[in-house]
Amino acid sequence: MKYIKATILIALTTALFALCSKPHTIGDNTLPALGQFFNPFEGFWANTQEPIESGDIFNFDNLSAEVQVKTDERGVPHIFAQNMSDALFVQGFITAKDRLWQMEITQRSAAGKLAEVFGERALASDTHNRRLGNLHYAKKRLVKWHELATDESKSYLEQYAKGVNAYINQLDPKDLPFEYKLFNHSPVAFEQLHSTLIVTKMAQRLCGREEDLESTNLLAILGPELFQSLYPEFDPNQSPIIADSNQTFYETPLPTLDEVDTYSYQAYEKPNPSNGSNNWAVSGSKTKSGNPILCNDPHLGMTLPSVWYEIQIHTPEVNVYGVTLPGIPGVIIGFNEDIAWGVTNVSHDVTDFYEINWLDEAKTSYQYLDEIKQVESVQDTIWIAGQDPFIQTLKITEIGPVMFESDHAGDQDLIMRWLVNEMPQTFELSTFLDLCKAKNYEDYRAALRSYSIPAQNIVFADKHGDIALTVTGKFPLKETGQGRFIHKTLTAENLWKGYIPFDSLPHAYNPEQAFVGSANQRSTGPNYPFYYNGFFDHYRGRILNQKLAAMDDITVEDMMQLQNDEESLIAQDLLPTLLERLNQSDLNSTQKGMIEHLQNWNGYYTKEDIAPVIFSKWWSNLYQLCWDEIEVLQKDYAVNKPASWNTIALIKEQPSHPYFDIVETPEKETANDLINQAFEQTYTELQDKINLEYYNWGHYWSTDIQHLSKLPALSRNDLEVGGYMHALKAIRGSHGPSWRMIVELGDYPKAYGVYPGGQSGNPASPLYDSNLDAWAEGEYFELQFLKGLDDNRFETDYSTLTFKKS
Amino acid sequence: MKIILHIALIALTLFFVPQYTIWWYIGPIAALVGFLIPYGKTFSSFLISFLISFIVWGISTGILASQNEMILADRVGNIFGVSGFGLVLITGLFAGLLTGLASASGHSLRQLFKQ
Repeated sequence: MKYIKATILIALTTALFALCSKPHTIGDNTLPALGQFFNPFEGFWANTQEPIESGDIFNFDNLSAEVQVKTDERGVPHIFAQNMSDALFVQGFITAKDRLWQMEITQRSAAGKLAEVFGERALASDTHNRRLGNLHYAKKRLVKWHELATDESKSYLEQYAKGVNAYINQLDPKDLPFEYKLFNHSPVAFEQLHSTLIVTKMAQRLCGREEDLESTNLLAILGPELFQSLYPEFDPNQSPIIADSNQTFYETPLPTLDEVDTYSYQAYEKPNPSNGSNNWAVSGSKTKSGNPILCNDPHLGMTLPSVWYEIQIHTPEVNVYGVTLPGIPGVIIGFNEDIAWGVTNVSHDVTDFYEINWLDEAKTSYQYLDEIKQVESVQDTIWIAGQDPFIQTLKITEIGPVMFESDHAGDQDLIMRWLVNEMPQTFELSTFLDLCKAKNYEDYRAALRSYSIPAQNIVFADKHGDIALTVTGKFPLKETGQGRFIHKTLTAENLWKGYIPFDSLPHAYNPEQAFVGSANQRSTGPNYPFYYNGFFDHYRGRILNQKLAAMDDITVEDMMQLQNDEESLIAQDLLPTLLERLNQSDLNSTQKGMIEHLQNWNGYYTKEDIAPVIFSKWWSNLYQLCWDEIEVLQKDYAVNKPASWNTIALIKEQPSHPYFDIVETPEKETANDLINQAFEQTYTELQDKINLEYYNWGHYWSTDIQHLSKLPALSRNDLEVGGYMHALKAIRGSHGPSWRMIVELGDYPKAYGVYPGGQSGNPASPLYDSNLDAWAEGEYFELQFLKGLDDNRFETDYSTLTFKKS
Repeated sequence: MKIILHIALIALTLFFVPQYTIWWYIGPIAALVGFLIPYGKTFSSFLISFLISFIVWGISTGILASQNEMILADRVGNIFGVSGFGLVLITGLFAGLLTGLASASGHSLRQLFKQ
């Protein structure tokens, strides 16, 4: 008996200890090694203690002089250094202190190295990112940066990485960021390549959209005439960023049916279409104070930790405040004592596909213009946590990777030419480093010359009263219509002819209207001589231009309201038609109530209102009913449904368009029938909810700010904030204003900002999500832009850190 | 006396070992305590180690959690489907179970040699 007892106990104990010493995978989730995880002194509990405390002093031989950091109550570091090189070393250190895990995950995500941490569930994303060429081309880009950068700017990148590593090297295992413990991995040293990859990642989000495969399939299946009516290129209602006197756009001629083919490839996941932004600047002549005001709110995936990190850098030459991406030195959106700048995405399509003409069965050589070229085959190993690695072969051609490869004779293999994979002609980060120290319009323009990807509308205002906006970046020089569809041949004619020269980029400087602004709409009016196509906003740009034109005596508060403006023109464009064409003779009392809500609605997507729920559901049901034919096609081909703006135009102008017929029914439906059916559906969906007190737009359109791992426990989900993707307060799911900034220039700038998160990436810190509630309420913080170390204007009890040269 | 020695050794082990060495050393040490300080039944050895470990890890984490105003405790508790306070208890129970079983194993092994 004793033997049995002892054996059982010893076996049980040993098994339990063994079980708790190793991580385990349950389904898709990895459980950390529980023993170490729960260890109160080294496990996650230790993250309740801040590893660095106010008053701490650090010694590093990478510094040339002493650096002081004052951190305000929101956790924003204000770095006071004697030169930029020292400042950026400390920026790296401090950013790592707050955001180390995020920096690593972001670069891993770009490089296709997530499976190494998260296991097989991240493999699909990794293989895709590798095939895009992210890692391959980022390495080349960094080499090029080193060739092109001045010694000074090269040292910036180096110092920043050294700062991050200085933090990692002094890190006690118990102080590892929480997520390293949860997901059971250790920090890798930060390399300059990681900064390059983080630029690649942002470029992928912002200029990785294309629909060449989808459009080509559609054109080949529908034929030019039907394609043209369903997928026109130009929205006649749009309000371009740089308008010209001519308002009429002429459709680009389409290729003939001989020139296009269908392909059975699956489309890969595209960046979220809600990645966009607003920015504008108003001249002093339109403001109450007489000073220019600049505003910017970039719309990105809103996450915890936040995509942005707030910082001030003060040296004898530079005093700049703003936000940057953790992993990128300097400030990306911000202001200094003289100027302010902000960015929105340009959204041109900068990806083209070509069929590759293989010359051998093994697919090693191909025809490139008049030459025979060998593909560069890269054996690409993707490491997977707890499993054998996955190995794929990347085939790299002269103009980009082979992105689609077919294993049967039906489809041709396709090369992808993507601007992000082109080698830079400048050290691209120098744009932002130069903007940090720019003093006037000339400096701003000079800084922009080195910018390439992802193309941005960079808005500008300075204390001398100048405002400007430049559509900035590298844009391929294309023949008219080139690159909208997959090219069946690769010829000198259909290759890019270089880039649009900087001085020919769309640009406005102190225009008569006394404001400049952009919201991802088309860059230019019809007179612009260079061809481009892309993915443009159809509502925010219009309402922004309308509202700014109508405003005068503008104050900072007015600008706050405009950034939080919930009105969308989509309601104005569509709702009267819906109401007019709805058969209102047989409505029951609930249905009549729904109509009444809509009739009384002002088009604002306010969280307390029910009308936007009714309209939004009605519109989405209607849209679904319209495009059943395309859904049928989607079973066999990658194809997209027509754009919202064109669906609305067709409903209004061609209600008897053959595609409004529902294929499955014997009747011949028109748009008006669909409007009535969609209303009936909406009523069925809403009849039980519409009178519930909690059921309103805020509830229906709620926002999730998710942790990067998507773990709900580390996220702030179901926030009721209002707004709409087609309103200036552009919120959709987890996408929206990831940073709101308003700067009033003058003798010394006054600035306000807020982002949906907090400075600290540590889920144990009160600063993890401390700005989020203010953001949700549309409130702002005054940004503490300090004049110097002894500036006490903000009456804040700063914590301090000192970095000494050792 | 033996109980006091047992209590003291387990308390010191649970406090110092995970801070300065490898956490699972608490296992062999608790087993050794059970083996070398024999008194009462195997269950008493389990119970003393269990309670003391529960108290040491429970109090340590309770202090950390309350200093942190339960921010992290609540978040991590949420991952495991419990409250922040529940997580403090789980941490204590976790330590208690591990060292309790280890001591009981040591104790039961000692019983074999008694013959």
